[in-house]
Amino acid sequence: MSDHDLKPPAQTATSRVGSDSASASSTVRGRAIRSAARRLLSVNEFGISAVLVVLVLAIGLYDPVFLEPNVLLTTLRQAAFVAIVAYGMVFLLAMTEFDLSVGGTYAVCFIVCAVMMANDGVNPWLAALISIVLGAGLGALNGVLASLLRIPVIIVTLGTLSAYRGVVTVISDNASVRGLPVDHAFFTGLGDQWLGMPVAAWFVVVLGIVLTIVFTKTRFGAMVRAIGSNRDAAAFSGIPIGRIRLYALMVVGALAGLAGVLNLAYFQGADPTVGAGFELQVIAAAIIGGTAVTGGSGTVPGALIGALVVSVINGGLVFFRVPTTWTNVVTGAVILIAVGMDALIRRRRDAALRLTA
Amino acid sequence: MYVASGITKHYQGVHALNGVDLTVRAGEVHALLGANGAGKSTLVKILVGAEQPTSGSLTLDGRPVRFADVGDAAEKGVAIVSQELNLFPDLSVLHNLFLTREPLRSGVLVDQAEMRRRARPVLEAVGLDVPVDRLVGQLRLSERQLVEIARALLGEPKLLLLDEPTSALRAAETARLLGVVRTLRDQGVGIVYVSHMLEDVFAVADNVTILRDGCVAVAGEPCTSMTIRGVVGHMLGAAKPLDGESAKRPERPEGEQPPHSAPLRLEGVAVADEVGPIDLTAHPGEVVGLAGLEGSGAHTVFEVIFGRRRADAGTITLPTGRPGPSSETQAVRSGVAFIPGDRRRLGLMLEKPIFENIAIVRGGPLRGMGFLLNGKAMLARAEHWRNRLGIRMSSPRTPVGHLSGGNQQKVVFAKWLETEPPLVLLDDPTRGVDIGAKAEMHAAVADMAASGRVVLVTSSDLKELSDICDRVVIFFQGRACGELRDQQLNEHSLLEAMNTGDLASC
Ligand SMILES: Nc1ncnc2c1ncn2[C@@H]1O[C@H](COP(=O)(O)OP(=O)(O)OP(=O)(O)O)[C@@H](O)[C@H]1O
Ligand SMILES: [Mg+2]
Repeated sequence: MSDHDLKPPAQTATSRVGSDSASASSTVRGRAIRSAARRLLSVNEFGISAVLVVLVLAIGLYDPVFLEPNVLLTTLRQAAFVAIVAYGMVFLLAMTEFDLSVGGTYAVCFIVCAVMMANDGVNPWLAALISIVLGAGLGALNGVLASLLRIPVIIVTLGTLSAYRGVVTVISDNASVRGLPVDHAFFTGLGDQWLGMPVAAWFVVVLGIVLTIVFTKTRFGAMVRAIGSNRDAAAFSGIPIGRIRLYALMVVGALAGLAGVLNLAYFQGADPTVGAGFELQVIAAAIIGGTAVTGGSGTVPGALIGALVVSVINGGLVFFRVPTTWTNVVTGAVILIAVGMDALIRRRRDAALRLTA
Repeated sequence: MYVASGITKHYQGVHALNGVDLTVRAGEVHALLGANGAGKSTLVKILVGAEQPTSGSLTLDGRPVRFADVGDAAEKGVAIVSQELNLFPDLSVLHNLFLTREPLRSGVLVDQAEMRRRARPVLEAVGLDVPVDRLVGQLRLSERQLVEIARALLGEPKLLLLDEPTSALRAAETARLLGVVRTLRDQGVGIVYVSHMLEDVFAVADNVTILRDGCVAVAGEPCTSMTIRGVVGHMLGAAKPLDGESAKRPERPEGEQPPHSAPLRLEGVAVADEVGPIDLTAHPGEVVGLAGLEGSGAHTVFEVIFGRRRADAGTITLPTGRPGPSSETQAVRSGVAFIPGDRRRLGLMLEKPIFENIAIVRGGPLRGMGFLLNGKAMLARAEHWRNRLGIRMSSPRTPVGHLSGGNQQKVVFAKWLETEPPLVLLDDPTRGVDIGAKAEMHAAVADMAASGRVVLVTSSDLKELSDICDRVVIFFQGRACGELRDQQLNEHSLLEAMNTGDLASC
């Protein structure tokens, strides 16, 4: 810049052209970087992703063992079971509904699958398939009850959560299921790793992509979001609310069934207390991920990050040697801090984006 | 005296107001006019502290003021009746009226008796005749509008801002409200009156200010120096001047068969003790009005045809040949569109982008856009309607809630026209729409009929009914008691027939 000022006037014209285009190209690059940064910032999951990274690094700094592959893999696997069901919960939350029964559905499918294949019973693959269909059926039952009794899904599932759990106790006779064919490909394949990740995590990836598309790009997703943003207007627009809700509940049920099956494949044993408190983890994951309980919008990828946050907190507390009597208290506190940080980041970011708009 | 000077308001990228001045004196009715999106509501919201201006100052009785919020303004004597009602549907009328300023007994308990005592004269003044314990959510739109007005009056304001207070009101209620406005003025209250009903404005206003594109086009001129024609010219600017006459329907070319050639037939339709039995036939290409006072059954007929209510007797045959629907979903899939009068509750998803609102019926229950929705195609449709109806928006991706009231109404209109329905039910289709856009929308209605659709209309605006309808069926106490058409059909004959059920004198 400064050197061209010293040049004789005759050359100024050409040099000015040159320097202008050079500075133009540098501003273009600057603008590209800035717009890329903006796009990254404006991703809704930005805040909670940052929180996740901070959590992992903080725990890792405190005790590097947390960052060892097998520990991270376990954390990932725990997150996977939660994330799969949280994906479905995003659809329900987006239409201002809650399904509290997912923990029960998860446990029923888990136990039924185990009982069916125990002692050389049903072929494990078939048992798995039946269990997933059963999950969808239990979801459908929730939907049908809500429509018939004309009561909110949250109330129906408060009842069915307890009922489904009861079914688990009855089926298992409150004891662990024995005689599982643990050498079968179902256990050695599904319960293992593939390309360095637990197979369950691959399900998370594939389902995440598929369900993101369903949520954001399909007719079904659009109607789900429409119901959540204005139920009266959705009904008035001819959207069959009961039917859509039924489908969403079946999706959640099937996903809970799948999570149960995957968990069985990994654990290779069936304990009737499985999945206690699972429903709260699922709902927490969806909400921490950025799906608003007020409905109308949601994020499937966010649910995955939310599940990772929940799982990192649960797994990480072990490293801080929190007395077991205190784990619930500390878990709750850390979740509040995480969500609070996300909200803070969002507000800051929104303000920043507004200024530069 | 309330003076606003140099008011500027920018929303992200949208310049809603640019250096607007407005002076309202005590004992004056000051009309604030302008096309949809001109900035009227924005200015009124700033005057009452519901929005903060980007720049500019407010002076109340010589002292600069800055209201923290609407409650703060109310305490200082400035009250608003906003265009989009701000009521709580799950609370009773009484609690809505007194919310946050309930009279207390011994400092803690809400004094119900005192509330009733104070509410009565105000409700009488505005002519609202419903039990005060009824939930606001159960009221009709016009009744809710009156509750909102009554709430503003209860605070005995020195300055009252009315943003389209009559858009949902019927003729008699409007007349009554104008009477209230005059009384308040005579008591020395300053009033800002925003409306698209220019006849009302001229009947009540002393001075007018006209906004155009966020700037002042006419600053506080006395009404007597203006004509309706002149006002419209200032509002719409260089845009097309109106020919005064409403758009009459283009003649359908001879011999061309409309795509949906069956009529809508109602035979002996009855609903409990509310309506009927009613026989009605509307042919493709016809615009048929249904007129009647509240409770006369005209509106119930709409709800039955749209599957929101079940008829207890009789048969309905839709233009598509299908029977009367048993749900809204069935109605929509049988080719019925219903443009509702209550756009906030039934028409729109306010926080969703404009293009999603327009696409939701066609892309959703009608399955008209495939399983995977195409964002580009939806945006293109929104652009189409932006041009067709003149929707003022910065982009089809903006949330509908950011549009001005009249432009929101155009989006509701677009959403239903998008479905290309054989039968169209219109309930106050142009509520809050400016005079220029109204003509456009009337032309769109005429086009619909010309292309062989059946169109049914109810409207609180009798001029609109007589302008766009080929004939109007009069409902009185649950029965269709005759119809008006051709020369017989005008505002006055309608009003008389609706109130007496007697068509002989027309
Ligand atoms: N919250 C908001 N965010 C962005 N833009 C807004 C917002 N509110 C209003 N606007 C814009 O400001 C402009 C003025 O709107 P305003 O509601 O004041 O119009 P109006 O004169 O009241 O119109 P109408 O007659 O339709 O009610 C419009 O272009 C509108 O889109
Ligand atoms: Mg307005």
